[in-house]
Amino acid sequence: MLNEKELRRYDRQIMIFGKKAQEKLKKAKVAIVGVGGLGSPISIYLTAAGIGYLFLIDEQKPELNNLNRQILYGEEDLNKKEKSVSAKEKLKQLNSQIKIKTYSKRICRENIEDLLNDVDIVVDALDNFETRYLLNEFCVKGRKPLIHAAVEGFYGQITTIVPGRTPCLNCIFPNPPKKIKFPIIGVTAGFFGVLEANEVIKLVTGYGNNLIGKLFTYDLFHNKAECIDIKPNPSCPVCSESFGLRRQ
Amino acid sequence: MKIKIKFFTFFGNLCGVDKAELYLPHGATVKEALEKTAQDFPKLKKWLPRYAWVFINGNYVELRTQLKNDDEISLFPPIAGG
Ligand SMILES: [Zn+2]
Repeated sequence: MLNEKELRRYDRQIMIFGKKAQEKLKKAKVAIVGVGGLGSPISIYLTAAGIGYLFLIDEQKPELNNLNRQILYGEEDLNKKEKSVSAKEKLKQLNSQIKIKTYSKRICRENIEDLLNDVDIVVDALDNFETRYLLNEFCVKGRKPLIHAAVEGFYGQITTIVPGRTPCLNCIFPNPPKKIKFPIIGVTAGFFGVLEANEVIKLVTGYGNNLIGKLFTYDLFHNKAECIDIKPNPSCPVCSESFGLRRQ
Repeated sequence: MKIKIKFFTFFGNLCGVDKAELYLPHGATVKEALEKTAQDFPKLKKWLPRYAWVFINGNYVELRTQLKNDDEISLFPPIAGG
């Protein structure tokens, strides 16, 4: 149930999707893996929207060359606390009613199940495919929705993966990009982070259309959007079993 | 046969166009189509055939997959930042 203060706080969005949807947001548990360029706007907008429980995972500390895009941090945060911890302090100022848990070590095969077992939705705000594949495997196995985005320069891509319904990350991107120091401007990360938060809000409330089986790309340089329908790979080593296509 | 090819995000920028057509012999594979694309658009050589994400009509494909007339290849540059 929403209290009187919450009804006032979320009044303008309750006008869009109603009280029941707002209650769903309050009950939702969402993990944001990576609290950098994408993770900053994702966590800010989900905190503002009233997601009940956020789990922030990031082991790094803010560095000077992060500040062009990682808008949760400022000069006073450099090389002090881990991003997850520093982010929690800022987000609590924005909305003290949100439960925020942090994890300031690296997520890996050994700890992922313990960390993410009780969340409803996982948001990929990572900067490497090695860990993304790990999230994907976990989410397919645990049947949890995974919101994926990646950005570079003025470009980005986003899709919402629902195991058993959509292609998984491995179906879509079977070969990882080479590891490089990637160019990026804050507005691109901001744009795609907001889209990821939007996917979470729609998925939780059931209001609006998600990017289910769709890969959306946007070129902020030329203001050009594209969206293509994508299908699962019937022989995907990660998800084909979840469609009942492969039996052992 | 005629194959359509669409360049997404910065591939379009590199090529100066966002789509093109390829004319290939019957039974040509994805790999051959990508090699031809790299010849027509030399700036893509660095990525093709191995380092791009490729779909045919929205479906997963392998390099040895054979193409059909009028197939549409979507070519995404691999991006990983966050
Ligand atoms: Zn898959």
